[in-house]
Amino acid sequence: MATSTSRLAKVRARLDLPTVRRAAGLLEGRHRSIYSGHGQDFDEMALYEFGDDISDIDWKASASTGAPVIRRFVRDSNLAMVLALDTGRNMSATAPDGGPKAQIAVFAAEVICYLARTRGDMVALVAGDSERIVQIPARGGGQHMEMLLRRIDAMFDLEGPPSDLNRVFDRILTWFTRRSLVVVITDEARPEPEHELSLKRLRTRHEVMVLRVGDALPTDHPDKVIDDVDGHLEIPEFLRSRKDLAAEAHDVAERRRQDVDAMLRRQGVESVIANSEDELIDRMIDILRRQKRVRG
Amino acid sequence: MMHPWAIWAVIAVVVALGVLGWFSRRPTPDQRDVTWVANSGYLTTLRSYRTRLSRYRLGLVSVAAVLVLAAVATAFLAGRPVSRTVRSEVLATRDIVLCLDVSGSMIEYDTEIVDRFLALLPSFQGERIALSVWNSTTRTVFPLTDDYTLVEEELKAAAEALDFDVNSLDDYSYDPAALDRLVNFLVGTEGLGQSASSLVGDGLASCALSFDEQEAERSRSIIMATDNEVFGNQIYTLPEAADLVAERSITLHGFYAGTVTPSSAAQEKEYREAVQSHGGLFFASDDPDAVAGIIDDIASQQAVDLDATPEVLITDRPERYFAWLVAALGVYLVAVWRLRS
Repeated sequence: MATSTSRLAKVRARLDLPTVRRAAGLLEGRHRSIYSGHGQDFDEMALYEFGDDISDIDWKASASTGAPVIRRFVRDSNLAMVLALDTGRNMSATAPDGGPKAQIAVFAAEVICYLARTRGDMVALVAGDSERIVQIPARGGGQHMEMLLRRIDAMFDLEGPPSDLNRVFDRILTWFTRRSLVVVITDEARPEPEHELSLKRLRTRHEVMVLRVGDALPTDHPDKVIDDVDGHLEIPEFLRSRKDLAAEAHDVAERRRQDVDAMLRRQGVESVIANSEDELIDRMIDILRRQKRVRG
Repeated sequence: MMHPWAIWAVIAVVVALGVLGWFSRRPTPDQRDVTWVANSGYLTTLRSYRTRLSRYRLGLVSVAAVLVLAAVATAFLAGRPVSRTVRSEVLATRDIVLCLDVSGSMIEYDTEIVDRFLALLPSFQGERIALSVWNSTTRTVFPLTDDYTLVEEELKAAAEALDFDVNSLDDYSYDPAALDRLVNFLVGTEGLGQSASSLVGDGLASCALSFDEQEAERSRSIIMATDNEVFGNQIYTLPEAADLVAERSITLHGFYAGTVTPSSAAQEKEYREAVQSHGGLFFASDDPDAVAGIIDDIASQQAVDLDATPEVLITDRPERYFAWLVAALGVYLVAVWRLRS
């Protein structure tokens, strides 16, 4: 991707305006939920609108008004988002649409940055794997976002180290003490059970959202040589294009997705899986629309 | 095997190429051609993967086995499988005339000679044999022939007919059917009536005339059995007949089995000289059981005389290995086709 062109402009070109509005508005609702009940400056009472957190509803006021009313707080201009990026080599593997997973991951980061910029939010970056860790403090503005995205793009590499989400989570726990929206970008098999504890601790301080990029099944390309980025996988031609094998692999992958979903649900974390860039936009709108009660 | 070393040479080459191929194989496929996937470690634990993989490995093992089989078959083919048959062409050019005196005293010995030739018959490959019996005149039982079916038939009939105890005529204890067979067999040998018998010179001379194909390059011999007790007038004397035989480059082997009479020593001496003066073998025995050994002696002496070094006939026999090779390659092609699809 040429660095001379603006990534955010590209994202904008891909998102039609109504979509952006909807997504941006939804992100706003999500942000509000982060700060509710945290003693921020009270702004006003407002009628409940779709997208508002129901925990914001002021029941007494609603009772006297006859319609649901929420307490709105002053929006903090220093609202922080943390992009928690898995940069392991698994992220450079093939996505279900045939392209690299990194492309979808970068696009997800671009969308987040774009939305944040349109709202004037600050975005921080913690990108890492088992060997590298890159941390960029939260700032706002287009230039910061562009720099951040270029940095992200450069980190994805097939030859890179294996993934380690725990290091990313620990780094966020250590350095980001203010309550933020942590957007974890990883793949469909993660977070794994070994990340559950870190995720739980992260969840106590921050709002967490997980964007998972789908994985191509090893049986999806029967006419090609397949290999696994994390361990040598040799599929002899004799075994390729076997329907029963493909079906079984599909079942196992599906079960693994559901296991991760269940774990994330246990921890009260929203997540989506995107198999392509187009799907990503729809899924992100879904996740932002979904209202969730936030505890603590 | 014509070249047993070729087997090992081919196997060594195959093994060497195999080792070379093993070490020069591409370690991993070109990275650019690889479609990289992540989180696919579960694949190798799938049941269908495992069953298929074990089937695949079985297939690979059988392909390897079939290739080894093909290599071995090729090696054996390179070794040029042959079958060798040892036979002497020279001995097969022998013409042997059995010239048997069928006067009463000799019948027992004649039986032995005929029996011995019956036993030798299966080893004949082109030898021709004739049987002439004579007393005062000669009867050709069968002329020189390599029709061994006929020879066997006639020799059996002769052996059966000659198997007659002449002494039983004196006390009438003989079997009339056996006597009939003998009389039938001897028809034509007593053309001069009772006035003459054992006309050995005439008998030998007529045997000498029974050789045909004079131009052909063949070894000719007469095996004569007689007691040389001549009664009556003969056209040829024994030495004259022996000269005739020698003139026609026929070797005469003599077998003497006379009873002891006042003149028997002279008869034996005349006979011996007639035979030995022309380089033949002479045997004297009053034991019919010695005949088999004597015939063998004659045969081995002939082998020496004819310089009958055995010749080795070599016939290529690749059929079995070709069948193996074709079968192995067929199985290989099918297996590889199945394993790659």
